[in-house]
Amino acid sequence: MSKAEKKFLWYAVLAVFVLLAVILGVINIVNFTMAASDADELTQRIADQHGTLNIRTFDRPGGMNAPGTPGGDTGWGGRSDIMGPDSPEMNNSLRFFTVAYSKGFETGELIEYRISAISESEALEMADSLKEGKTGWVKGIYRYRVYSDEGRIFITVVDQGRELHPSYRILIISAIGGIAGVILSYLFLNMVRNKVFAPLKDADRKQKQFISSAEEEFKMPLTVISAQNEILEKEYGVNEQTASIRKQVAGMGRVIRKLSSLAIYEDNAGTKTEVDLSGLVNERIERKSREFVERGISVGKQIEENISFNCDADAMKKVFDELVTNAIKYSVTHFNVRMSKANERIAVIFSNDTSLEDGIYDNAFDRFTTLKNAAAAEGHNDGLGLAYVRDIVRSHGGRCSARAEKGEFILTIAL
Amino acid sequence: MRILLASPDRDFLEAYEKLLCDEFGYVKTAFDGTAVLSLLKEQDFDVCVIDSKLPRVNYRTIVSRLDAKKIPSVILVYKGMSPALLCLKDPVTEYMPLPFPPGELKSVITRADGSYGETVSYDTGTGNISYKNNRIGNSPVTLSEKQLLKFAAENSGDGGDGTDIQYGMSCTESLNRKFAEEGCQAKIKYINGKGFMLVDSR
Repeated sequence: MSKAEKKFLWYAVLAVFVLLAVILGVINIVNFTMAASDADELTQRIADQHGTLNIRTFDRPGGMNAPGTPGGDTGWGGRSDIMGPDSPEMNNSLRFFTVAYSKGFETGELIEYRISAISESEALEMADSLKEGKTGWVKGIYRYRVYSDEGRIFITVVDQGRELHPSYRILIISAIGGIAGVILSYLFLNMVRNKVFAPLKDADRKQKQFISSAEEEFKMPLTVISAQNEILEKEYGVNEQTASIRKQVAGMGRVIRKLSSLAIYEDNAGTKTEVDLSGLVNERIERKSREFVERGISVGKQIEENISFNCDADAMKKVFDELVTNAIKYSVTHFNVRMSKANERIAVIFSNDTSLEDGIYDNAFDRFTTLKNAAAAEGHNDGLGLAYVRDIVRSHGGRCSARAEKGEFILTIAL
Repeated sequence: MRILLASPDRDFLEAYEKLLCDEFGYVKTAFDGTAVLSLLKEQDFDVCVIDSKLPRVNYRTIVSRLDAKKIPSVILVYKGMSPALLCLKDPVTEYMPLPFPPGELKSVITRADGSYGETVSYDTGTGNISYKNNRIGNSPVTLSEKQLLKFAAENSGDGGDGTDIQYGMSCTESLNRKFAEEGCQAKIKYINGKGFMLVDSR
């Protein structure tokens, strides 16, 4: 599986996970909130009745079957006012207790005790522990309310275990369903990724084939032009025109060779050996030191010593040659390179002053892509150098990135 | 020096016939493989430059014939110098990836001439590596590979690391494969701080 496919799979599954988490999370939060609200309604009713409960049958004229009552006598369906806290059965089925305290919370008196799961002493203990609160849940299934009435403090605790049971069931089912959804989405996406990526792979293959064919077609003509130019120079002497032809042919030859190198590297990554990367970077910069001086570019180096790396030495040399050449071309007054190693990761950062606007410039690593400042730079800009750098770095399991920030162009290679 | 130049591109033949004639004295050109084989029957050459896209007869057939006559062959290739190319069993004296400046081809032709007569041996410390008639054992070696082998065998670490040698890493890989195939106890290795060196592979 390619990196792009892995990324696609991960992001798609993550999106499914986030979506399911949000939707199911909201459903469950609303569910529990409504359960809490129902419980609060009950505790309020008890509070209104001074710590006790006596829900009577509907006071409407005609009772349950009163005309205009939703659902009427049609049985189940539509009588929301006899479900939940409003149910007349609540009178007999609600399990609760109420403890009353005189001012100062000295001793509690159990004034209503309609619960089997908790003994009277346990009820008093529980009430004592809730004196500081207002309302809330205790032990996961009991809803309590603290209120004052007739100069005394009351604490009512209502057992909502049966009412919460379906909510917890929904929570578990949501969690299992969510996980199953994520797994199924991963399996499905894994199944279809080949179809999804086939057009992209095909386009990539065709692009490479086209570039390969095109660069092959240029090779012989360039060789012939070079030879004919030499014949002209022999017969008529070197002049401005033949010098220009030579220069242009050399430039095109470089582009062709780079394209060939890219193709060869894609097909056969070279032999890897342990290379002194610190020494290599230092050496590549030293080689061009005169050019930096001639252009008035100051060079700063913070290169940690003795950093070694298992790599294709030849390819790595070309990577740093390319980066140093770019530094000479595009630096205005200064250029800096930092190299460090931490936790088996090597970071190489090339930076130079630039006229580019702030932003991310990862597209600089695409083939035949040049940035806005390329036009002003001297020398040949074929847009292949950084593509080559990226391909080499990637083949070594590394990453490249580029950005401009406050007048500095920063190119980072992570190995 | 007598040179045979074969390519399907007439402009190439025209330009290089003149340049090589000025340099070496005698050049014959051929447009396809059949013409090359006819010319080889009629006369001998010192070096043959053959385009890998030569029509009618595959260049590899021509190379075998040239090798039998101990005539060095320079093959013009379009895909660059890869380890896979160097590991082919064809007895090619040198591959020339296009495009190239005229001077480079002249230099390769000069080096190729007489290469069949070379016998060179290098000591690895525990044994030696030698090539004769452009072969190490039964494996053909090219001029680039010989150049790298020479550098690696003679490298004392104070003359550069050898990474400037053209096609150095491709040749390293191909040579090491050939050493292994021929049962040679040697290997070319890039040593930190010293560059390419010929070492014992055990």
